[in-house]
Amino acid sequence: MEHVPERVVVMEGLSSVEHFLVGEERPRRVLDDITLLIKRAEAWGINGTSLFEIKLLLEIMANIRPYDRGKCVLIERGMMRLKRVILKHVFYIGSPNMLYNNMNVLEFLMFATARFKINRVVLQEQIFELIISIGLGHLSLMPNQMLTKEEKAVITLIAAAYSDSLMIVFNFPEYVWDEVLINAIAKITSFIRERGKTLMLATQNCLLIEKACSHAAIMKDGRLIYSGTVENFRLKFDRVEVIIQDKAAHAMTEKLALLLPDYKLDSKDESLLISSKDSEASDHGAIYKKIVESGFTPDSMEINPKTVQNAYEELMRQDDL
Amino acid sequence: MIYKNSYFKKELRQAYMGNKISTNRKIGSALFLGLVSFALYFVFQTLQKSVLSDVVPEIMQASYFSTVYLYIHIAVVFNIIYFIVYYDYLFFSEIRKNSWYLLIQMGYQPVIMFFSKFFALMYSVLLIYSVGFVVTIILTFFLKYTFIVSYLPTLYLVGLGDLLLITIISMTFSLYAKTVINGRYWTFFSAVLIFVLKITLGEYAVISNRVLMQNFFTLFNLKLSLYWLFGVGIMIVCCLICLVQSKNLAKYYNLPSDAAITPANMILVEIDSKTGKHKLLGSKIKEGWRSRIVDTVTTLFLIVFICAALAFNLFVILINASTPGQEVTIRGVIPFVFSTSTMEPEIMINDLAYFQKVDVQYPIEKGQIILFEQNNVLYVERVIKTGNQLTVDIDNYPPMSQIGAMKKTVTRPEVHGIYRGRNRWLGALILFANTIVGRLLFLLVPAVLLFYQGKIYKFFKKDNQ
Repeated sequence: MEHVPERVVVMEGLSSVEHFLVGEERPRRVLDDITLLIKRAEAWGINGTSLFEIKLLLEIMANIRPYDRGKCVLIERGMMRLKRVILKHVFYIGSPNMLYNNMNVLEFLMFATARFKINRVVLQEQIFELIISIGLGHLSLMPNQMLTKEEKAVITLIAAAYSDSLMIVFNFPEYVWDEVLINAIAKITSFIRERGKTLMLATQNCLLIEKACSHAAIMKDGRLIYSGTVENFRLKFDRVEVIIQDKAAHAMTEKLALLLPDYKLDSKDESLLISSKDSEASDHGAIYKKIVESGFTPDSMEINPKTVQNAYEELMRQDDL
Repeated sequence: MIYKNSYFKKELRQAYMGNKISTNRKIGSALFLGLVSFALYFVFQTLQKSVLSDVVPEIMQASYFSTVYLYIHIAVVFNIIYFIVYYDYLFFSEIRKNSWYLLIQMGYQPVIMFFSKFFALMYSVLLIYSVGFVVTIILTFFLKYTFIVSYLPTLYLVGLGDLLLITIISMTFSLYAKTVINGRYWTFFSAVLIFVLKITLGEYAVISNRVLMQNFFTLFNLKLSLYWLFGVGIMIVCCLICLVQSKNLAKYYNLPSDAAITPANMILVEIDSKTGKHKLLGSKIKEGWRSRIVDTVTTLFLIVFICAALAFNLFVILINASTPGQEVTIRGVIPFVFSTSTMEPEIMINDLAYFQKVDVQYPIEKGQIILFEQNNVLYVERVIKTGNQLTVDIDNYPPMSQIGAMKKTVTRPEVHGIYRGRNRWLGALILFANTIVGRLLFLLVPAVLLFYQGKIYKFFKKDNQ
């Protein structure tokens, strides 16, 4: 029976060769002391303040660029000395130009999977259904040259999902994703994970991480400031418990602050955000009761669903402090 | 519809969306080539009485040899343009775009992809060339020239050899060209290389000889030209380089530039932890000057071409506007297109002759050729006797004509100029400029270029990016 490695990426104290120089300051490593463990069938979203840092981390992870210090082991096989060399177990997607412009999307995917020993009719049906199920049915017969670079990247990801590579690296931190593509990536990610593959995804889009990833890694100034599950990240760092919408929200802030001394109140436009001061779970019922008792009846009041975006902003704020 | 594309089929499609469209386009191109060759042959026929008949008689003759000879050269030019325009689809730039990376990950073999690409391109070139060749012969058939089969296979092989050589050299260069724009320059350069090789190795002397070309094995006669020996050698070497280098390139992921995401206020360096040496990374500066060079060259080329074409047109219009008594003078020189053979061999028919404008005091000697006007007609004749009046005569009387019939007595006020020299090529060019094709080329094309210069400029800029 074939051994299926559980630990897909093991990074320990990894530092990059590349440095940033700012004026007369001492050079700073683009990546410094990165420790990360990625396991099989996980989907990691890598986010951070610098596009270059995120991109470089994934390039090192995919054996595209060398590193200076530390250790990086891929699929329990170590790391090749020779960089950029094609590794069967790593599918790196860092350019949208891999597609052939003179084909349409379905045709290209059929062409890419032409070497598989599967009945062509069955395979085409499968691929077509997958494209439709991820919400990109409208692109299926569109010539590749008419796709945006983001769409091209997603089509390449579909091809990668069908490959035999255990690890897929999707490295487009600079791309802007719309909701259709975010949903498509989320569904492809599920497909990838079902097949026992691991996905590493570089992005600055928190919604994409929230919808598509099981894990997140957040970087700032070349260091990893968070790595763990997305669930934990949201719950731990997004401390907003209740969101109140009302025209008089701003005027009520001081009054409510007295009633809710264990909470932090922030007013934004016509919203009032009530956040807990510690990471422990809050009693939303108690907050609601106290607001009603104060005689204030807001237009709307909702329990914050805890988003990656809020958690990310909070994490950055904490790190600045 | 079930998609069952193999890599070979994909290559056969080249730039087009479907195999059928691609095949139709290829056949269409071949027909177009045949027609263009035929049309160009007629254009050259209008320049029959010019320097071209002496310099390139092989394309001026009334024979199949001339039409086919023109075709094999036009096919080469067409293919170079085709290669440059569709460079992306035809050559190995897809390896640098990591398209092969994806396919290799999906189970494709680089060696098989190389051979598929190579044979598909060769097949396409062969198909277009062969159909075009047949079309040219069929069209020439309507001219009712004597059909000589013996030189046709030789000419076919000459053109085919050139095309295969350009194809394989361009393929090889495409493995080393890092950007599409560079690849296009290299494709053009490969054509220039073959042209130079043909001249230096005496190939043109062989292929332009209609008698020699009737023997198929003349091409391989090493005493006459070493071109084929060199050509075959280059092809073999290029094939091997392509095979090795494409396989080698396909082993690696090609990293696109990160210049767009490098923080603007920071310098990116690689520091060797052992030696502490700094190496500047990022290609922002490099890309900047390259882009500027391409922009400048494109703009400069457009400006020079448009200006030269317009200036030449103006020159042609001025010469054509010359009438007796109102000759156009440029800095004291009268340009005059000589349209008879009466002064051969000194001035050939359709040569552009220059005459220095003179007044009545200017000393004219015996033996000089003068431009004079009598009865509102301009004449060019040689002075055979000087004095108060000049006696002039032509140099070349046509056969069966009476010698001395053109002898004239010219008074000094009738003399407009003295012959100072001639330019045979400029004469032919003016003759060409007066044809419909010439008018199109020198007037319409610059006008179109001028109108679309913004779009052309943008196209090159986009390509460079």
